[in-house]
Amino acid sequence: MKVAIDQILNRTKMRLLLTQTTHADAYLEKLINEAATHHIGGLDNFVVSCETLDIDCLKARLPINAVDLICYSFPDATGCSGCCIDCMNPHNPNATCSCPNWFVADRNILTEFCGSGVSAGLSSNFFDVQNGYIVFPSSVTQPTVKVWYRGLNIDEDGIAILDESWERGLSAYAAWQYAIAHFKSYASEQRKLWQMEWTAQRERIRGLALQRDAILHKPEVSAIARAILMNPMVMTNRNG
Amino acid sequence: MTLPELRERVSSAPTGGYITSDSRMDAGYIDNLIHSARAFIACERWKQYGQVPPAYYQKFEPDFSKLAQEAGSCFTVFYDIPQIIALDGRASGIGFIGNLNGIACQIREVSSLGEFASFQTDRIMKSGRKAYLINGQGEFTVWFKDKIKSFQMEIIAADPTLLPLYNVDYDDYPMDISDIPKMETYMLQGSFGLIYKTPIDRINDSRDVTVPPQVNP
Repeated sequence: MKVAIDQILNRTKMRLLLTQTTHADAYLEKLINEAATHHIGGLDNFVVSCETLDIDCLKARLPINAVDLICYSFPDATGCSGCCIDCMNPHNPNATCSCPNWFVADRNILTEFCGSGVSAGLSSNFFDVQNGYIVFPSSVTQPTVKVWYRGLNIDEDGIAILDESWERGLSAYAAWQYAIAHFKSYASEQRKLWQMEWTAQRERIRGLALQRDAILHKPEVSAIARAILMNPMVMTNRNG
Repeated sequence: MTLPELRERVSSAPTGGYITSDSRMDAGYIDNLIHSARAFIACERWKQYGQVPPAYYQKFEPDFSKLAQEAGSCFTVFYDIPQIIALDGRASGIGFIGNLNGIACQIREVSSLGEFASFQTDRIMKSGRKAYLINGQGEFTVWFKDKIKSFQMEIIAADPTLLPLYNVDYDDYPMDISDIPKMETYMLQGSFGLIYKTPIDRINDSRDVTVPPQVNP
């Protein structure tokens, strides 16, 4: 079950005896979000999304939650996206366009694309990603680009989508960090306990994420197992 | 216990001795001392127990003035905010801020524009649309995607009588009843400590007016 960040914030304030003031709310919220987006690293922290981005002054602003880019394509490109020398040469209208239809950021995925017979190229040969923007060469004339990316699972406010089972761990992390910043107000033993609790909870959260992932993919595994049982020769001997 | 009752109780306490006709027993002065002692006790309780009794908090809803707003701005400013005490360096006297335009939610408090700017540097959170309140001197600035017309707060005001919902004659003074003896002690030890003054005799005659009146047994 997913919960709002306020629930975890209130739990943290209870730990820190700060329930009667709102003074530290903004800082604690930042700490909780930081732990959820960057430190937990569970499998369900990330989502694969796609978005059509506007190209303005040869730049397209990546979505804020983007972590890894998977691939791009120009939605209205019909074989030519204006990205290569041949496309931009007005003196040679008969030049054969060498632009790929897909620009792939990951070499493994590129292999899959090419293996499937799709026209694809490594995106780093064509575009750069700088400071949250895709920077295109001046030859690109397309108004939009479609991007597939692996992103953080966040809401419209930039807050991580938080699972109920993370509450204890995230509140321990925020309390520990806050207590370090205000070390005179909290005993060192208390700070140490919160740190240990966070570490233990983080491992538990990662374990649960793996477990959940295995359950989600269980039908797939059982289907493969069933296929092996039904036709062992085909499954085990791919040349057969 | 209402403020007039409290004032009566406190001013009756310092009895005996010889007090000259100064202004220390004026109602305004006593009220001021009561407010200061209340703030001091609230801070002391916070430092000692990390908690302040709920009786100290008062509900407050700032007034929205459309004419006071800047056109096209991303923030709403509320003026005429009563002074709020600071419990210590890491806690203000604001217990709750929320219910924006009647919708249940919490607002994040930041103490200055600089602190707000530092939160906005976060790559992911900066594009968010959460509401932030900057606690300025006598005014609040609320940053939100829309204009804010109302929100609610629970505060420990430095002068509780300035809050619009507080009725001096009928409402209980926002203080825990068990703290009143402590307040008396502070006031008697400090500002009400009896000062024995000798009136100045400016008239050069044989009568000595500086001698205290003798009480007949």
